[in-house]
Amino acid sequence: MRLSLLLYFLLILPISREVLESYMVTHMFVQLPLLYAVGMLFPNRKEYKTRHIWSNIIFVLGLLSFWMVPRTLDDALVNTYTEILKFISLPLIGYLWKVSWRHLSEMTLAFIYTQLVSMCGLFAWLYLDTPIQICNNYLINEQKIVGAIYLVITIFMCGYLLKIAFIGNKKT
Amino acid sequence: MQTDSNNKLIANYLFIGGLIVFVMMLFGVMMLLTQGGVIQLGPATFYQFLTIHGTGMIGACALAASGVMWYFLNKHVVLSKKIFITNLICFLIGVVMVIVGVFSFDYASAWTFLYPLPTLSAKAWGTIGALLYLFGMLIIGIGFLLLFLDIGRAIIKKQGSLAKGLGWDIISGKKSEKDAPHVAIVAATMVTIVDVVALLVGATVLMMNIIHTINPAYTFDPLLAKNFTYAFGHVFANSIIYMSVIVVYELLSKYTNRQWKANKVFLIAWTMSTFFTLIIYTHHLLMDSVMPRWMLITGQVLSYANGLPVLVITAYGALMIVYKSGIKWDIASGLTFIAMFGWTIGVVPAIVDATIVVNHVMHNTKWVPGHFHMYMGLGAVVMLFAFMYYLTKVDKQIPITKLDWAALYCYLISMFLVSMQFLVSGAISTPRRWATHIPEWMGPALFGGIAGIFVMIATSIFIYHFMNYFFYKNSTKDS
Ligand code: HEM
Repeated sequence: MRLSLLLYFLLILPISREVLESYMVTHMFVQLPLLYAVGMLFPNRKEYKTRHIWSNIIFVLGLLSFWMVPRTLDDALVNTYTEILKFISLPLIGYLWKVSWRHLSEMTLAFIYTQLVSMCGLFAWLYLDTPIQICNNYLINEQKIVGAIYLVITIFMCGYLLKIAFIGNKKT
Repeated sequence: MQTDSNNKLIANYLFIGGLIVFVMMLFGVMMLLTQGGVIQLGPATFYQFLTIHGTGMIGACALAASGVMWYFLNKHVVLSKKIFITNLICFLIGVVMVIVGVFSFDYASAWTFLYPLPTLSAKAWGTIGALLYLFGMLIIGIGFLLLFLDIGRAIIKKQGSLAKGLGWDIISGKKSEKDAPHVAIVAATMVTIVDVVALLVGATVLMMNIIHTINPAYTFDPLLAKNFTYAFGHVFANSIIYMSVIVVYELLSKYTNRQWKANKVFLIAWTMSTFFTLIIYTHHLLMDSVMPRWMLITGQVLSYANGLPVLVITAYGALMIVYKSGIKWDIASGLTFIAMFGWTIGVVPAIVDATIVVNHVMHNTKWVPGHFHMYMGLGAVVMLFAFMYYLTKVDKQIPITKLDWAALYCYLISMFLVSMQFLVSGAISTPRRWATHIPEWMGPALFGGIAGIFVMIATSIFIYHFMNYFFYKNSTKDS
């Protein structure tokens, strides 16, 4: 609990926001994951019933797709409400995911994971390849770095998929 | 009871697949008659027909073939029926979207939706048509992805890993041949590996096209797009035959009372085909001189080798299992045997065309449809029909009439002629995918159109026979 609140406090400080949000890479790959981590570190007091799980998951996936659209992050830089929404919704995603994911079947997890692989691949391609500036607030060269990071993430995710499929689960 | 309802579901897969194949044949015949100068469709309509024919045939055959695979695999591993139903629902939703996109919004990029054609159509169709088509394909893909993830999960649960599903521990000598996975598991593992890769790449390239359609300012590297598109389309279409071939193994085993055991050679062949299938799509890019040379050469060499390992061991195995077995021939086993023959001869024109020097002349001629109509029409589709007869026999003992036998011969001859007509057109340099033909090219097309009508007659008899599955009361069961 304390760790989570401390992290949240640190992230919300104007100085850290200023630093993390001034680069696309740190905004996307440091600030957002840390906000998510805030939610993950938040203690889980309540035992969720399985029937709540699906509403959580749909909510999480909906929010996640909202933040996947480049325009929304761009907006967070100029619009205070979107920024506030970001600081509320991302920890919420983290928390809801934490309390729900264990209840999901292997199949659902595998499906979400493979969809993420496709999506990360798509983002790598989009950010690396497209000749136009996607965000108003970040330059094209930053966009390329983000693309390269997505590519690395995609490769690692594929590697993990291969490991599960080919080396398999020790238990079975 | 459980088996009964499972089989009914599988029968639905086959019936829907078969029905779509039949309707798509109608579009095929109309295209040939247009090219033959008998009817005038108009180019725009022709390309709509071309799009729906290609998409429908590949989609419907994949659906039916996955039903066949599920039927046999479910005897060896525990599969989820819920997922199987979900796939069918996704398929139907996707099909409706594709049909509306093509016929109500004039979408006509051919089933290969090669970037940037879905967006830049010179106003032949608009954004909505393209989005309906692309999202429709995406939903169909999601259904199949779910299905293959479930199959992969089930195989990993039973065997430990997909590597063991392909029998690598037997190939490496860690286990003896008698512990080899069942042939259906080996085939399903191969298909799962190649199709999950294809579908993930396909989802990426479809989303890319969707982004480009919504905002054409986002452009992408067209060569990479082409690579991805064929890595999806070729692999997915190719996997149909590997799903259907399970019926050859299982049916001949049952009919001859001999087990089709996976030995080392069998396992090595399937492993080789797994890798080759993933790599050889580059033979679609032999004309793209900017492709890295080594990739094209790999594409050429491995295309020769692609289907061969599985084809050879299956054809050889089929001959061996039947030899002196006293097998009783009926339509199901007959069709199975014919399918092996169709697959074998269908591969030959492909191998010719995968040769770079030949490809420079033959690519984009009707030689190419010649190859895949032969190996799909006389190979994969025949395996599906064989399964239909098999299911009606083992589940319901529906009697076979003379009409069914006549349909078998009619199908065999007329589908062969349809394929040959394409090859002849290719040999006289008729371009593929042209709505209008000059008089010199019309002859074979017209001939093919007429042969196609006979293919349709035969197919309707097969489907009529299969439809009885749903209505026929099994007298032995009743008593
Ligand atoms: C009565 C049987 C059939 C007829 C008359 C027929 C006819 C045709 C024609 C005329 C074309 C266009 C050729 C061109 O490029 O000019 C075509 C393309 C195609 N056909 Fe068929 N076909 C038949 C059966 C099948 C079957 C059984 C399959 C697969 C399972 C199939 C799959 C395809 C595919 C994938 C294309 C390529 C579409 C494209 O170029 O985008 N066809 N067919």
